[in-house]
Amino acid sequence: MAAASSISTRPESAQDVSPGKTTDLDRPWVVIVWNDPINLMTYVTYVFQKLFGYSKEKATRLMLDVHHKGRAAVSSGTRERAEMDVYRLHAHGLWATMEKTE
Amino acid sequence: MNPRRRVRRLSAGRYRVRLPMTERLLLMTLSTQLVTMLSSDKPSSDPSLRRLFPPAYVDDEHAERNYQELVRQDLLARRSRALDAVNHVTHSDQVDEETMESFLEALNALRLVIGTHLDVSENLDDITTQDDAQSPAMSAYAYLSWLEGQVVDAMAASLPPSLDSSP
Repeated sequence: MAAASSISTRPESAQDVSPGKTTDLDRPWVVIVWNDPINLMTYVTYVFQKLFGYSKEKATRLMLDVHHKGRAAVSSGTRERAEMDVYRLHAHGLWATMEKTE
Repeated sequence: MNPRRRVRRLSAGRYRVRLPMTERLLLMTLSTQLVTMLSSDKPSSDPSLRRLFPPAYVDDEHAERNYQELVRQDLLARRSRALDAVNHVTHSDQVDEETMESFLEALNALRLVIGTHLDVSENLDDITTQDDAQSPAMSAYAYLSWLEGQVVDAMAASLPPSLDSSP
């Protein structure tokens, strides 16, 4: 990736959202992004990089998983964390859901 | 410089977006229409807007209802802010990072709504070779896709270094 500029990342307004209180510490949640025919591949890659700090290579790999396999797990963690990630993806127009890991 | 290039990153956090009058008018018209649609009583129940309010939980109605109640107003406010940025970008010579982020979200929201309306099922490359590629909605969709690609390219160059150690 190109050398970083001095731009600081703007705080996401997702911070305004209070996540739910229910927790299940034993079984983490996973955030799934689903394939859709509208979002551009370059846009999806960019959103993964921007939201999760992934390298371009990792973001591209996840995007291709979404494109070819129909879905990809892009993050995981507590229910609150997963809900926040889903919200941020929704704010960027991606089709994301969350589910408990098996 | 490529005359078809509309978006240029000038320096850290500064962008220049140069659009011909016809493109500015198109963007203003589309964004105004979406603002009107979003100001309806219950925009999240409008089928053509469903992609702007996706579900988070597929198997848990209660959790899904709570999630939607939690985020609906925030998502609406964010879309409105994004559509405001269209007005800003089309009337400014240079814009900052935050405005460009909002502009990108607006372009993508417009594509989601028009794409849903058109029932897009193929990628852009396939669409533009179809017989109805010249329909106004399809032309607008193709234009938005083309412009969004330029914005993404310009903004991807501004991303901070990745956090993950393994590629």
